[in-house]
Amino acid sequence: MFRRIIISVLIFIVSLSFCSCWDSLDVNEKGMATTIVVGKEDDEDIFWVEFANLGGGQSEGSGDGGGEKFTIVKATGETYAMTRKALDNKLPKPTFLGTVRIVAFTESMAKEGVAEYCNRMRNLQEYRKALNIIVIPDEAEELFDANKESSMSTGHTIEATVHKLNKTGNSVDSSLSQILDWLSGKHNCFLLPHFVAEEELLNLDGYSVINEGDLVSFIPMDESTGIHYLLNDFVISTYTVPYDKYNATVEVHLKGKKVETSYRNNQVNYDIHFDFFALVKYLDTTKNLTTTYELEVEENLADLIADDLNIAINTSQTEPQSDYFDLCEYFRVKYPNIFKDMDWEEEYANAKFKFSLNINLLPGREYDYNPQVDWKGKEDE
Amino acid sequence: MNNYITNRQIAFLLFLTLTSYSVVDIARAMAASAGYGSWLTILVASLLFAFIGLVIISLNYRFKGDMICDYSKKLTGNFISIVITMYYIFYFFLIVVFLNTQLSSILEAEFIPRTPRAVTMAVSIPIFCFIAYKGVITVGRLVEYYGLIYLIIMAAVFIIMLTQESTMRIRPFFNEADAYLYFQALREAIFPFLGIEILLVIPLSHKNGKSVKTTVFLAIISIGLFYALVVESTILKLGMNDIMHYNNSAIVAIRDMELSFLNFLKRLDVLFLTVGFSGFFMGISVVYTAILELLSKLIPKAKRWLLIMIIGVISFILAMIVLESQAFTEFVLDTGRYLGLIAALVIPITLLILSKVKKYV
Repeated sequence: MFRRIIISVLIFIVSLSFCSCWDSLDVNEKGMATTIVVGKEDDEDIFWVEFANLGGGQSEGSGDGGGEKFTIVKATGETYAMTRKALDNKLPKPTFLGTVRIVAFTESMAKEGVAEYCNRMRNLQEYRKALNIIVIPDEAEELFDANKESSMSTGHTIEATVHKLNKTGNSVDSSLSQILDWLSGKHNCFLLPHFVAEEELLNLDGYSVINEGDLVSFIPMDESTGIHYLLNDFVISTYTVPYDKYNATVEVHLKGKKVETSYRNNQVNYDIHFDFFALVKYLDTTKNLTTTYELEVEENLADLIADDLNIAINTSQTEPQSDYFDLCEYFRVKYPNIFKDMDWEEEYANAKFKFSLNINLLPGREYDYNPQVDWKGKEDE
Repeated sequence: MNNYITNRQIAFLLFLTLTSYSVVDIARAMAASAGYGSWLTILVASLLFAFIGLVIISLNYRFKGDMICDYSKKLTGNFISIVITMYYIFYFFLIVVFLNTQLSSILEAEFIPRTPRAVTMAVSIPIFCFIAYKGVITVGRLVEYYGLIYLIIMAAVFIIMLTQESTMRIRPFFNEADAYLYFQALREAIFPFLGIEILLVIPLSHKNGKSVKTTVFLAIISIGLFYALVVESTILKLGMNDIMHYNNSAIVAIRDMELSFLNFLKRLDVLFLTVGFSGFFMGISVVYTAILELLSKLIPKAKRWLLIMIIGVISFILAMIVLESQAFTEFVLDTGRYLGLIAALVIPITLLILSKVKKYV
């Protein structure tokens, strides 16, 4: 009898625990946030929150914009806590933050500092730490308007763009967990993707440089190739390489890099070696790519890549004077005791860089077309 | 089926008892004290505790079929034996109350924030008690199954975590200038290895053979290697700067992981919520079993079901009293390690010396 009672009690307890107790809530009873924009206007904090309408009906809440699938709700307040309270007062359902794909700071807010809101996200347990953080212009509504026709939320669209570019190394890691680690460090400087609304599309147009938690400068996308080589382990990019009177379009794959650092006469030095594999995709002439031309393409390509790298390093050493490449980590690992007492920003600004490139150029290897082979009779012509 | 605890079961029993809670916060504790050399401190600590494990298992091996309250009576007499047994009951009670409060605290902080902690404990304690009521042999069989699943899944999760970021984040692996820090951090490495004293309530059989000593030694070294894996991968994932902010650092690191190539299991925290917590549950159940076994020996006429109900109710009440007490947590993490050293080292080594003096073979 006692055994039966125990088993019955256990079955009851186990089934009770499957209900998630007090935390159980129907998905339809929650407001699923997909994008959060944090802004600043006239000394007031602003939240724009994009919610997914699960029913697919018309917008609900007191939003300014919105469409059939998504609702945008705006709230303002003197502090983040007050802004959140103002937001909650407008919403019929409790907000669920586990579905947020992107948190965007407006430029004005990023200039004030991103650290406080990042700390807030650290302690709001529902936030995924893998979500991406970006910076946008102050006109946040334009971002939502540009995505109006899309079947995806603004957050999902931006996240998909960032993930797609990350696969080819053409963006940088801006996950919340990575940013929290940077913000906790002694030398915190990093890049955040900067998105703008352009012709009803959301466009990654460059990177915002965040130093000590504040936005300090902007690097446009056309100056960012070197940044990708320095920050990512795998990058694919395309160059138009001039040779003789012609141009060759070459796809370059970064295969690996080796960073060596040394400290001589109170001078930080970096020797960075890059391994590339390059594929000639096509030429702007019907003439063949001879071995002489091939060597010229290789040399010119090396110059173009070196230019990109130099631009990236010079920008980081001059304009914001910030090591957003985390190169200090290489130095810390090799000279942990010297690094402890260093003023890294100053040392980094004066550091000397040397690049060496190994490019393995393959003309037309991937396709069933080899521009180097001619009809034999052509030699007689 | 065997009617004794096999060597493999002993290995998994140690594994679950030691790692179930410690795996959650060991990375933060070690990173804060030993920094980049945490792995070294842990491995040195595992070697020290492997020898302590050898002392305990040698004692059990000398008195086959007995547990500490039996052979302490033979070695020290009735009164001191009762005192020793009472000490272990008090110590295990302290640990079980601590583990219950920590379990409910982790569940509240990381998974079910709105569910009152009292409810979490009211649901879990009867299950622990039921497992303990079934006795040491059943617990041994259970830990063998749960332990294997726990070991495979958790090791896989932390190995995958090691591939998520650059190893620059956990280097330099050794810095001569910080060697003194690594040595000092041994103090922090004591608590994760406490739990080996549970062996004192596991009676050995003739069938265990001499290889049980090798099993225990290797099991503790393996636990050290597992801890080193957990610490290094968690630091790698969260970064040395940020890890200091999280008490439940391993859970936070697991929640940070999103594996895009695993379509059916992008987020791995569900694995901790299932496999990780099942290991935690088993670890607590083992401690309840130890209390019940000791009390049964102390009050042989009392019914086991009555004793376990009393233990369950008392542990629930005590856990409720200290539920929000930071002082209690600090007491267990600080003073508890010395009480643990008395239980795991001082008493067993004294009894082992006495057994040699009195020529028990």
